[in-house]
Amino acid sequence: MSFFGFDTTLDRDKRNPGEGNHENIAVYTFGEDGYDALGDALDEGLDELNDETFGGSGDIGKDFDYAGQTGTAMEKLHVAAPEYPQPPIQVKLDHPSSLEALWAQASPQPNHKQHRVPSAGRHVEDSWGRADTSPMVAPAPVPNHAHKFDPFSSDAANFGQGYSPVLSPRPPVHHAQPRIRTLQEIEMEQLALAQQARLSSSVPSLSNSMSHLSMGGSESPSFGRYHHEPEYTRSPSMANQQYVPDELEQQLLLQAQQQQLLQLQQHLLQQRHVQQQQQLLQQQQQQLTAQAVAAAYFGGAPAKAILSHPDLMEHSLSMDPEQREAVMTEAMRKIMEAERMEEKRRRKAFKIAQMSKYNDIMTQSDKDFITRIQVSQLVTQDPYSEDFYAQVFSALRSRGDTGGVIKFGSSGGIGVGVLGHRGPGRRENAMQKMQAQVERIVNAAKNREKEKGNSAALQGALGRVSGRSYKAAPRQLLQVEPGSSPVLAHATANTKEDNKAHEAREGVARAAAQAEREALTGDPSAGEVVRQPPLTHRQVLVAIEALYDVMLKIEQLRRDQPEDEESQLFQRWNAAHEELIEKLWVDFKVMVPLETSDPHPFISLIAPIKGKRLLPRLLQAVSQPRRNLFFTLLVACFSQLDVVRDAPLLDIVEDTREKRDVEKQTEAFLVSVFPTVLGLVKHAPLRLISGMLGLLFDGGDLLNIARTKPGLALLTILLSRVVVLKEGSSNETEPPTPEELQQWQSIFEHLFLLLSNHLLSLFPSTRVTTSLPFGPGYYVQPPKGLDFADQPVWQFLAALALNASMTQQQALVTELREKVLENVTSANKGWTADETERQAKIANVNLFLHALGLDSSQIVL
Amino acid sequence: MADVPSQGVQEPFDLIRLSLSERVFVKLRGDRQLTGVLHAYDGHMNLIMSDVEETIMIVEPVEGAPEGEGIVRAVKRNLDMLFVRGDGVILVSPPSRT
Repeated sequence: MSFFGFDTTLDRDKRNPGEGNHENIAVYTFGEDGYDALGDALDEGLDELNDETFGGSGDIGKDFDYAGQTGTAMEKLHVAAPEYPQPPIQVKLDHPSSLEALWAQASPQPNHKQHRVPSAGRHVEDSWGRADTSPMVAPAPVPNHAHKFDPFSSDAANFGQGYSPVLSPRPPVHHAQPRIRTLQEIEMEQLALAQQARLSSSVPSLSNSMSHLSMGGSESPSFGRYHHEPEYTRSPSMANQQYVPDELEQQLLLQAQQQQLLQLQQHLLQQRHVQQQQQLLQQQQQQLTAQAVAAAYFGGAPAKAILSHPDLMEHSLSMDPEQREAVMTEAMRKIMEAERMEEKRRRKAFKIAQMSKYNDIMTQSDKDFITRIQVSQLVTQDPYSEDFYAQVFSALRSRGDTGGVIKFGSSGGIGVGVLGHRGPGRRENAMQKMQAQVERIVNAAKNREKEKGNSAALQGALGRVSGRSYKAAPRQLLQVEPGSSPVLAHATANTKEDNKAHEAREGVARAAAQAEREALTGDPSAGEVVRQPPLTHRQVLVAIEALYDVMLKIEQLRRDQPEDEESQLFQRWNAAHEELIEKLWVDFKVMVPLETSDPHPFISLIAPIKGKRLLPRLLQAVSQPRRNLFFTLLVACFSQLDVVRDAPLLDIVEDTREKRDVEKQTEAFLVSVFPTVLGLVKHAPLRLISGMLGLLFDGGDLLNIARTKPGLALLTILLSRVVVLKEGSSNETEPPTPEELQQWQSIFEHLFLLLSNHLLSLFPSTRVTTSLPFGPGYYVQPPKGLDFADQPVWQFLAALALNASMTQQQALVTELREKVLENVTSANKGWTADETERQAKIANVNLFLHALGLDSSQIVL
Repeated sequence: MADVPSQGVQEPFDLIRLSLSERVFVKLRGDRQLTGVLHAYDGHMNLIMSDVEETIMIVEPVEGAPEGEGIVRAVKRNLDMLFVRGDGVILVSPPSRT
């Protein structure tokens, strides 16, 4: 490596000691005894470009030869000078005071200082910061000025020459490089100059400096040319304004302007010197300079490229500063954008390169192997149940589309998500591709299987299982027999016999009007019943899960129902379907004798919420007579229901978890179970209703049942049905016979008797209030929402009133008088919390009163 | 998914399945426990529960007392719906019946 022209051939010297002697520095002792041979270790290569780097050979170009450029500019300036009659010096001397005032901020530094700054940006700043103000009014020559700052030497002498004799006539350089201008350009220049002329001073020196300026640009391609130092210092004219910020543009245009300028300057000479305007313009100059500097600094090469574009320059020249600024900003923005894009692209390329080192690590067979594994996990014979939720979800979303199940021919499907509306394009494409691939693989596997004709489908799909790991697997110790569950065991009772028993019981229920007691003791199967402890919670849960499984199987089977009803396939399907339904029915234990346990197994099964939710699905699957059986059993065991047994918890004021649970259960019961019951009652004949009511008396404490929401609801629908039947408005059943009416009448009287004197306790509001501890709480407004809880009670009472005889109605009114008055009073006197509560109270009362043919407005307090 | 419970309980998860939509007690790492209604679970024992009461046991060191002896304070909070990540689950059980 050589620096600053040192000879670098030392190692070669060592090899050829003879040559070394020719050098004046060849005093080294290479190769001699004491030499440690470190020189050998030095890297002495790569010297080829030294010359290019550090100069010393050939033409190195002038791209960075700012000073040199300036020098030539000087030359041109002088060339132009003789064309003007007045020597600028004199002029300036004529108006020294004004100029000094103008550039007053001057730091009186000698001009040459500025030239030392080598960097383009700083140079500009410097020259602007000081040149404006530098007292170079007098063109005192600075001798050898150029040598200080022009290391590029070749033009240095030239510069020096040109610089010192500022006014010496020179051959006009511009003549040597003529340039053809378009008419447009000339026009624009004229316009611009005319504008300036109006503003600028008429100082004689101006014209001179203008001409200098105009010639300054000439042909140099570098943007470093903006320090036309002499011009600025000598001519503080506003003419600078145009050029200064546009150094980059000058190169093309300045030369072109020259002739035009010369003429214009003549006119300018006559104009007055306006000092203020000059100052103003000076400020503008500074701003624009800063801009130009910024552009040069940020833009770098691209900026230069853009700004040097002839069209743009032309354009920008004709614009005012704001427009130019806008253009500059725009250009900057574009540059930045381009740089960002480039950066992005680079990063991406880098990432790809990073990843590419893993390219081709897997062979094609590896990939196939993995695909096989994945596919073997995905493909299933039963895509619907394997990915149940995804299938249902897609079915819900794409309602109307033909089945969402992904299927491959007849072979099955994928057990993963379904092609929904997932974003267009690539993904869908990928899905399709995968589907096609999977299909291909599946088919290939099938063919292979056929060829081999043996081995299970999945065997080998995951590779051979080595014998060793197979043996290492833990041995199965527990042998759980299918069907060994106790729950399932005793479900296999003789259904036929049970059926008979229930029919008998239903018959008994029909006779309930005469002798409710007899109804169940007369059960012929009673003697055979083996009493069992009630199902444990765990047993119930196991049984429910089993039921759900059967239920799902049935639903699955229904989806696969064969089209052709005549075919053997359908026969088989039908048989399987029937069998499953039978199993479901048996497992639900509706047919288990009543006395088996308390609660009855069936009641136990619908104790958990999921049991309640399963019930409607079950009943949908079974036939109508069986539904009636279910209804009978439900009514007979009504008092055993958890929602009835736990109902007292609902009357507790404070919010406990138990209460919340009971609330949920009750809601689930009313939502899931009750609609079915309602549907059954809607079509029931009167004798069935009488039988049900009779069973209800039998089953347990009617009053307690009536105090629960489900119980009250049941009673209400039964009574309402009777009203409908009595009116004969339902035409699907034959009108009740006189015996049936008679039977009903006695049952109803029994019911009325049971309930009378306890009617008030049916109201949740009453129960809550009485359960409150005596004390402040007693007088405070009871918890809100009780009026809504009361509503079913009022409804029931209305149904009761409709069925009641005259005397019974009177008894009703007498008993409820207090409650009605309380409600009406508090509603009328505004003792209620808000309007909705008031309206609820009135509506409740009216429910009952309307049944009697009265209205709350008739009550006078 | 179909046949398992009809053949009885065959794997531990079948026991959890029994508790679906039932109230369960879940013990978690970090001295936490939950009671709530179990809605769903998976092979990682991720759980989805509703109506959850979470109890966090916090041991507050007592000044002067030896290490390990402090006041155990239970902080409770209620959540309507909760997704429990399976890696924190220690045990799932039906709540003790009273």
